[in-house]
Amino acid sequence: MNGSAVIVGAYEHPGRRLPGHTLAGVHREVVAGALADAGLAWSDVDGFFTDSTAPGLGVIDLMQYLGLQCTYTESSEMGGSTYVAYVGHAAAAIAAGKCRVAVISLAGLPAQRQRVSPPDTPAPVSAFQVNGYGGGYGPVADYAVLARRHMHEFGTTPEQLAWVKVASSQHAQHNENAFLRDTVTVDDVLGSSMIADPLHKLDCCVVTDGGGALVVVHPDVARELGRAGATLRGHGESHKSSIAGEVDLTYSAIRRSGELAFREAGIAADRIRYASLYDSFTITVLMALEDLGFCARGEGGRFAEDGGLVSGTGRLAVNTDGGGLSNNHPGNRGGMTKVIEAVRQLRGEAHPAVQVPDLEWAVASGTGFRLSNNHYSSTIVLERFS
Amino acid sequence: MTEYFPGGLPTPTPVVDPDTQPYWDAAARDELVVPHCDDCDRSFWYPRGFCPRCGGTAIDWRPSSGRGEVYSFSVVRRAAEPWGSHTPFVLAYVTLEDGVTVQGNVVECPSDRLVPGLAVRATFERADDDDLPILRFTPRDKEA
Repeated sequence: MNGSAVIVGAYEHPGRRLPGHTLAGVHREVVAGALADAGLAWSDVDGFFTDSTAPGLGVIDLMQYLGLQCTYTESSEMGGSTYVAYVGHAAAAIAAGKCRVAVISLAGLPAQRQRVSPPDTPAPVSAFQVNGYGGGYGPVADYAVLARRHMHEFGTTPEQLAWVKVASSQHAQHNENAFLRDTVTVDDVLGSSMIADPLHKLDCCVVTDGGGALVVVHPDVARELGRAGATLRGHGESHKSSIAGEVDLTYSAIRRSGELAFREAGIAADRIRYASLYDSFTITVLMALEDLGFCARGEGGRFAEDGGLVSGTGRLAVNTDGGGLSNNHPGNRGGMTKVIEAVRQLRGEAHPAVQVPDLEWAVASGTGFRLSNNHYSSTIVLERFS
Repeated sequence: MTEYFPGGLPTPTPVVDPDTQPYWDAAARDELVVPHCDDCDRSFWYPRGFCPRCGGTAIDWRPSSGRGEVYSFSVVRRAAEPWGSHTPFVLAYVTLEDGVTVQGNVVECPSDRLVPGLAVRATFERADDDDLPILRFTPRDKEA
């Protein structure tokens, strides 16, 4: 797997509010954008990856609409980690000779009240989940329970959590497409309304329309194109849940996914100077910092405080596009934009104010569902391709 | 400012897996049972008709003391309906003496008592007589 595929195209939809758009139409826009970025044609595509929210009866209807003729396809559901995981899945398919040019596509219109239908058959756990997955208290409370335990166990403070948002806003001010471009202070975060204690409104990611796409190809194709990109060096996935009533909120599935990805890449976290870390909530970033080995368990708050995640001046440049907290969280799924900003950084195409100089390695990590109970994580290690 | 988190939270009726009928039968008597696997001799949660660790199907629905302590919690201040009209309310993980950690709401609790480690006991709530009883937790005073 190490080196079996290269990301040669990456495109983030510039829109954050897209009235009048269709879900299929957003897929078309982002696939077109990623193919143009790679210098490839629609007819070159022989692998297509999207999630379970594809319109109609799913991926086959979408491929018909897009005019794709593929020999490999996948429409799985790992929540926000899906598109990070798919880079690995596409590389595996390419290594196995199943396809050579794979496109990964995400589109979502949550701000247009696009409804994702609840499942006809509820999950077995829903009878014991207070109000089930789709209902009532929403994801914020689940992440708040995680944050509360982190504070209790390690002395993490609301101020330290707020620093994650502050860093994202300092990056987003340079991103002309960011949904929130105003910088905020720790006091702004702590003064915003409490949603689920200890998480305030500004501890939560934005809700945006839009999407993005990636083009992942065989290294031979990448060399012919001559476009800079990102070679996949390591990929890992992991599931963690309170599978039998054992709950330990001091680590997440990100840890195992990172161990697998770093092992495959043959490097450790100390080589990484840029990381795209899933930021559905501020606490999600602290968990990722610890689980991926950027700091010791329980030290995430101290690592993030005082601008620790700000590019150029901090300990580690994180989410230099502004992340899900300030820039974009299209379709309530952050994994795609995590990979896209890592590719920008490795190409040297991030905004000059946040670009990490001479970057060779980057990490992108994504998480789906709810980190305090049933969730799935994927992490990839990328190396500059030029 | 001390707040009070009352009971009477929504109790939407879940879709029940027939394998878990012993749990719901006990709950109807206001009794908590926790499934225990006779093959690997451990309790598990959430209830199902087989052991998620070893796959065993010899399940003993053991009466629980219902006693446990809060592992973590959140005071939820914004939620969609029907929960929205009940904010603020408490979502928590409770570790039972039986060894399993269970998600549930803490009710009839003042905010100044709400900390990780708070001793609680199981209670069941239902809004209407034909609703299924939903497991909740309430503070218990420390025994001497």
